[in-house]
Amino acid sequence: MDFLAFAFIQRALLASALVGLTAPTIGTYIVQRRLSLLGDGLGHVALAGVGLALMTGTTPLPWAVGICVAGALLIETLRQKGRATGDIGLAVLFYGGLAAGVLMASVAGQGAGGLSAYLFGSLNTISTADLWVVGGLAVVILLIALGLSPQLFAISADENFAKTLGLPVRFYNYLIVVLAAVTVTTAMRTVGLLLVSALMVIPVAAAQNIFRGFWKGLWGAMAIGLLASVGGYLASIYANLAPGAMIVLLAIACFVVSWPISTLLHRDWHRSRTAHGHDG
Amino acid sequence: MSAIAVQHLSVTLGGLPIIQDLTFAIGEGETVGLLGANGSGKTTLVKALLGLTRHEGTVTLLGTPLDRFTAWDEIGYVPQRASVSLHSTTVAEVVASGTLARRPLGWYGGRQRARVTQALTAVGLAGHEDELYLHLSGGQQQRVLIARGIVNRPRLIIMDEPFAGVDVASQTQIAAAIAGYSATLLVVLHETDALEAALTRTLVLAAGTLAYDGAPAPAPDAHGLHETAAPERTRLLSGMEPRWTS
Repeated sequence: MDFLAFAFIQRALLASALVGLTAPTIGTYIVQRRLSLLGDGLGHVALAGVGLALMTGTTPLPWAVGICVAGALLIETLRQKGRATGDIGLAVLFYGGLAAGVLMASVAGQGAGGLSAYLFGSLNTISTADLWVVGGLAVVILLIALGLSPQLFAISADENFAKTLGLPVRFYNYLIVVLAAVTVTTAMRTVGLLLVSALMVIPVAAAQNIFRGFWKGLWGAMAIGLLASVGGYLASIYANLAPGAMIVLLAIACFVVSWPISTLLHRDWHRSRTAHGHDG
Repeated sequence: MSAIAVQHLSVTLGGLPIIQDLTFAIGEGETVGLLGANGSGKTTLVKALLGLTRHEGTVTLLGTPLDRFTAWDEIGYVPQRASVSLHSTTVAEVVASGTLARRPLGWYGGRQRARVTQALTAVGLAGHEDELYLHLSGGQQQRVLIARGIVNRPRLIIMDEPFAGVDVASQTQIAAAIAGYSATLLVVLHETDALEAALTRTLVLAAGTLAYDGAPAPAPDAHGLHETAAPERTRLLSGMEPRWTS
């Protein structure tokens, strides 16, 4: 464990832990709303921000956050106006972001290769300044996503009913996609923009297999996300392999293992359900 | 004071008039059945009353115009079916979400848990709190939605075909529990169910207009209850919710 003395490894571990906690937290609401691939699309949009930063010679994270949030607001506006029923508008936005990112990177003289650290993550190169930004954003995301969890659950589960509770549904809908956009961009240096959606969805799916109930599933998804992120990064050091890929593969392993665990844990429920019978 | 007052209410979807110039009022304590053929606009009217769809005209709930209405904890809404995404959600979590209007910060305390238990007992589902909503039968799921709608013991309950798939014994139990709340009740009825006996008044919609307003149990054929709605109206009514299909 001597490698833990290296500052860059400490920074990488902390960053992966933060992303491992935040991505499944937001992912829980995204999955509940059946928008599992939203993170993937937002990752494409964020690339335009990275390209813009490369072109202007500035720090990528603020640009990526700004562009990704703007894209998320546009997506939600289209959804609320009922104009996102087809895939076309979303596809134009997502692939337009990707193309714009690649184009601006090539204008900056870096080509598509200049984007690879953001597409696939680059945990070992995270600076102290990056870590402060990622840490600050992660704290804000967790405070909002956990503090408002009853409201966010209500609108994710049943939007119409939430309106009849007097909740500001439109505001909370925008809040969820903005939090998703910020989460995507904070994760771009860890698992990368192409794999971030996996960390938002797979720990949630695994937790829903094991834990019964929304809130138990939320905490379970955070625990599995943390395990996959920190465990995946440590495994990548031992095996000298790409950290982002290891993190996602470990999350998938958790998901696969969750099936037999689910069967064992919920066997009693199947028995009692058969015994009590159903109406309707 | 009227529990519900509607003046010149109209709803248009896709250029087609679904509700046309409705005016009526429901007094506090009334139990009113809303009947009509498929596509006559019953669900659209319910959604307009709750501000869930755009409309023209004025709606007043419990004495306050809808656009200024804030006492949502006084309203209980039971939808026709949950347009919801409730996988991996327990029965108690679904019902507890109905208490959110009373709690600005949203977290549950002992008082909310007691209300959830009371509501589930009223619909005959006590002891099912920790079961997953999606693991219940269709009839049991509908009873959970009724529990969610009555968990605050509201003054005004609006129900859209609440007993679809619910067995007769449970219907009777739920109807008795609701009667005990002394609330004003507007209920959309499609089939004969346990609430029909409790009605004090019936409204019948036909093609978006009020065809009957009076004593319960009108002769159905006289008011077009069994007419089939025009296909275009039916299509619009079933597709009025914005959907995300990606």
